[in-house]
Amino acid sequence: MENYLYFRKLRPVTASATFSGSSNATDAFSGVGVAANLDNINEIASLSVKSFDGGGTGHASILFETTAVLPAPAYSSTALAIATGSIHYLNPANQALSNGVITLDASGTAGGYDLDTGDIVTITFKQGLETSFMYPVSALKGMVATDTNTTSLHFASILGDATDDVVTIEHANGKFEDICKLMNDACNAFPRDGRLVTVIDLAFGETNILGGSNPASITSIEYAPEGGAAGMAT
Amino acid sequence: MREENYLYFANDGGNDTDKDAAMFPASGFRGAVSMSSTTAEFFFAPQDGTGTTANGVLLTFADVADATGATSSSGTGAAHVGDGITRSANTKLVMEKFAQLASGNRNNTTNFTVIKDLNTLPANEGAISSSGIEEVTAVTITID
Repeated sequence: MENYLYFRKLRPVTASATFSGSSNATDAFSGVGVAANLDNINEIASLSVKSFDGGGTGHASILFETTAVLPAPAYSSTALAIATGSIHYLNPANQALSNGVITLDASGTAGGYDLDTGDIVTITFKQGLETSFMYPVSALKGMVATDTNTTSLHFASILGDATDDVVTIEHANGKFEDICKLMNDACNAFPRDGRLVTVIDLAFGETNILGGSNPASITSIEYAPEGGAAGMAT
Repeated sequence: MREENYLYFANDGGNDTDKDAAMFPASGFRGAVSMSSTTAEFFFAPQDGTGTTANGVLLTFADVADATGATSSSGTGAAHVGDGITRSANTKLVMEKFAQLASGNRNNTTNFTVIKDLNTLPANEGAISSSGIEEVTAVTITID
């Protein structure tokens, strides 16, 4: 019997970025943790473009919802005229996300859209590749303060190679000891039965830390499993 | 290991083809990762003894609608909430249930634990004891 440690990455409910005019790619989204770790389009639930001045160009198939969109957006097939302030929904699956930047397919492609300077792209988040994860306590190899406001947790590789899986925690300066106490509490909670223990859950703009308070002032976590994207079935 | 828990998985086949079913000791569990809003993969120490290539079981479950901001208006575009959002509550729920089952070994029990059994054997030869985590709708076993 042992505990299992659950983490979920920092992700807001929504995030927006402006298009400043380069290669149909947005500026970097903010408030999403380290931009380099926002790489998987499958964690984008919906994507909309708000036209700044009606200057963009959309493929004739540009879509928008007409009904409730949950749990997944159901896009209509009706094109919508682009005008100042109009909002157009694009299927995220047609777009590319890398290093916190979304590059839209061009308007000549079904589902594509040519951005115009000042357009605002808004995304909403859902669970995606490696946004949440759990490890058995026995996989925890140790933790180290890598600078005054960063602590790295080392877990035995989920795939079994020699390279550790690393969870990096950003926190207030000098709070390494508080992170150690947090992990000690998580590992040793429920000594007689063993459960899933939510250690850090920063999804949807919320801060859920084991114990309810956040004495270390944790602001984000990043996750780097061995070899990047984990998973054998994909 | 004494009182070791053994975790059983079976897909919707008939337990008659390769990797229709598998069982791992709970101590071989290495971790689990969300793969999408409807899947999570659970990794185990490999059965081939190499120790270097994990075995994985991909569990599939439904998205969960989140009522927050769920409304969407007419086709004018201007008032669309555009959420499509889901907290994917089943991801954590499945992980919680896995944790409970995997750590549920007790004295004087068989410690045979069905995480999910979807096999299609006849009723009198069906799920061995329990069908396991009810939210799971598909099981894909990868053993390299």
